[in-house]
Amino acid sequence: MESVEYNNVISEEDIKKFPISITTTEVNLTGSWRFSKPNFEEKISPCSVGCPANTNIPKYIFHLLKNDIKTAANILRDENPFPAVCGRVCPHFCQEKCNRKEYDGSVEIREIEKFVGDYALDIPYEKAQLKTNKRVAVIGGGPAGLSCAYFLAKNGYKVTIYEKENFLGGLLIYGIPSYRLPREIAEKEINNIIDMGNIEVKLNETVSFDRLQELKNSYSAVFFAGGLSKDRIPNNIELDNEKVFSGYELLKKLNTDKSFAQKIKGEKIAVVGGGNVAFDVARTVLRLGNEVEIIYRRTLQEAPSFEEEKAEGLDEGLKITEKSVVTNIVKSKKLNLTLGKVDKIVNGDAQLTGETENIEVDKLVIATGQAKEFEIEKDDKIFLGGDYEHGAKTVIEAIASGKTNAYKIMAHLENKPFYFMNEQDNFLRSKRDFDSYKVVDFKKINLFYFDKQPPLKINKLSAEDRVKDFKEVALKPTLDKILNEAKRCFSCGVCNECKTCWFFCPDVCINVKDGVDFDYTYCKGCGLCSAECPRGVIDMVEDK
Amino acid sequence: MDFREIANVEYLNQGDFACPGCAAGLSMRHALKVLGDETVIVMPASCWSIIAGGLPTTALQVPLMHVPFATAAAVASGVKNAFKEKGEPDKNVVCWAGDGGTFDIGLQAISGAAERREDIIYVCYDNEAYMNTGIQRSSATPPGAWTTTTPAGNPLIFEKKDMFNIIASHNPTYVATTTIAFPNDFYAKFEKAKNATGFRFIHLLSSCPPGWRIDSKDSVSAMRLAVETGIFVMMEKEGEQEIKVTYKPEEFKPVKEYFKLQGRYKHLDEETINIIQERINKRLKKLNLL
Repeated sequence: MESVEYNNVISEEDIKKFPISITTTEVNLTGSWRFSKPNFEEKISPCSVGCPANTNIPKYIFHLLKNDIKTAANILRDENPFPAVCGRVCPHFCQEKCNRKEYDGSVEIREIEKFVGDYALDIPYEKAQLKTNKRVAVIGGGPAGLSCAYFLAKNGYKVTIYEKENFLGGLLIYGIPSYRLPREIAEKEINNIIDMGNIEVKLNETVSFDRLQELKNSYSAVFFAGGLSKDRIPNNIELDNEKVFSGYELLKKLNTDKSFAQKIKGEKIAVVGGGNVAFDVARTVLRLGNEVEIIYRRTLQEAPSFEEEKAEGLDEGLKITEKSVVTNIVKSKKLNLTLGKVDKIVNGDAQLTGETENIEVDKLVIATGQAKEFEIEKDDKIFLGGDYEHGAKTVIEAIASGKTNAYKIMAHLENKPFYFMNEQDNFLRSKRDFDSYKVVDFKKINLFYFDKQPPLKINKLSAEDRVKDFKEVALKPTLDKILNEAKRCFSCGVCNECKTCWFFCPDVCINVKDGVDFDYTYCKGCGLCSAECPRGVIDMVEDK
Repeated sequence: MDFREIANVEYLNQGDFACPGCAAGLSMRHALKVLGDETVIVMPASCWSIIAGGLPTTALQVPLMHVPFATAAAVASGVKNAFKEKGEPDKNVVCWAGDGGTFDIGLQAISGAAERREDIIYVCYDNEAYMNTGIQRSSATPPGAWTTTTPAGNPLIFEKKDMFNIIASHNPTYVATTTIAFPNDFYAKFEKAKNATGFRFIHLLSSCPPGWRIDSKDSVSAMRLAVETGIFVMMEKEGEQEIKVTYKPEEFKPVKEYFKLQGRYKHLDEETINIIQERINKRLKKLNLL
């Protein structure tokens, strides 16, 4: 049989014989049918709002999943210079706000942050350039001061840090025990900041009220983050630094004087207070082989310490006496404490039931909070931050305070509004868009694309093992587990190039590469891309 | 399914005449991504006759033959055999027909082709009425649904024709139901159909925003709800094997949720919905899904 040559089928003669289409439908500009059009706009994820430093969490998770952990680390450190620290000690406000919480449990953002943060420890920052001759003094080398210095130095300011101890880091070094935050982690992150350049450090420099006035004259601006350096001690107790200590004093002594730890081994120690410091002290001396009892005037449930610390402490065998205060101390070879039972607390004063109990201890530690050493008013040159400004709070809140003030100082010195900097800066974006529709809530998530999967379980050392030494309590999950957990992230409001919009576009009008491009010549405005986007990045807007 | 792994090649041109949000256009786009450029489409009268564009334009990058309503499967059989004669036995010859051209008018030709074990793929995109000509009822219209010819709702005595089992009783190579709202399932089934030889039939549920009276942006979620409520079951049958249901939700949603989204079910009262729900439950039980 003679076969027809395919090429000859579409000859001009054939077209005359039977109708054949020879051009494409691209002549129909179907974009003219449209009355609304898709608009690509990335939004703020609720976790970013929850984080005081507004870390762009979905964005760094996206880069982590793309195997680009270096970019992930940079995005993370653009907003927070202490990811490895926060990955350990932050109470993860972000996870409280996570949209996944309503679905199958929040993403374990903290573990992911810790992983990326640890990776970033060995990546130095790009050297900072000097862009202005304006100099800023930062008083206090704790997380708030360092964070402020970091953001100023990064943006080209010359910064001098005044620190009264002979090391930087403040509470990160002497306040938080190393089973929660290994010292070398904090030190590495601090060194990375200092190595960036533009920062001069003056150690052993106590800045008094008068000295502050001097500094004010020689610098363009002063950021005061001196923390709460005065111990708040109940009226009936006096510190002697022999048998009766304040919480931070004891922690500092244990950290600096190795023989002291040996000396007190086996002693019975009572800790007064219910905050993180009280638990940190108690868990530290427990590890040194002491018998510990926490005395707190309210119930354990009301104690302001992190729930995680309480639970871990109880596991390790802390003894807690609730609803009690120390009413009398008799000092002899040992300390004889009289504990009064608390009936209720009115306006901060404990009202006793009259019941008492006597206990005998070797040491008494008072961890009932700190107060300001002296009062400073803020003015056009002095900016206040950290615990000094907002009272005892978390590390991340101190970092955020340093960051906010860095931007405020820069705005002030350059005579610009607060939001002048970088549009892409998640911190400034989210500050501007707070409470607006641009935060993606649970309803905007297309759940079809997410299978239910419980969150990562964090393994910890067993209670028996961890009281033996100061090894980190939380164990590091494997890379696979971290990536698996990262995959659970909804990536609310942040495009992760999943191409769902591209898949569901019936008109072949979407191109996904570094964001989403729409071909408005042919887009009919059906809205499928917007409806199917799993993370609420595409909106339909009116098209005239 | 990771959409990033799907090839970027497109066989559907821009500027086709599908209504905004049309699932038929979307289904064709992805079907061709699986079937590839060695494909010939044979198309009886249907919405797609319009979507494909008027002479001298075409919406597809592969050959497409428009054929009379009743003849799709017959023409496809001829085309396939011609290719075999020409020495190109690997061409995918695909009938792409609507529910009118499948459930009603083309049924004898399909039955014939299936019986002769023709080596073609027959795809029915089922939008549950003659949408293109003005939403007239077909034998694929589900009971209760409004159309212009059943303004009070398709009477309950008319059941949607069970096309899956009609074709399955011919013992073809492959018969399946699916929808583009479940990309995994859609791609897997087209892949299976492509790689098999013999008569293959795929029944696609395909939403129609004007005909179903839904917002164009809801066209995919409507199809998804059809599956999640159990009114449309995604299943397949390979050769002599048993029927296999390919997707079973953790729990079926009440069919009311599916109806609520669509204007064509707006007039249904509680009692009618209950009757329909019971029928669905009965069918799901028969398939061992409840």
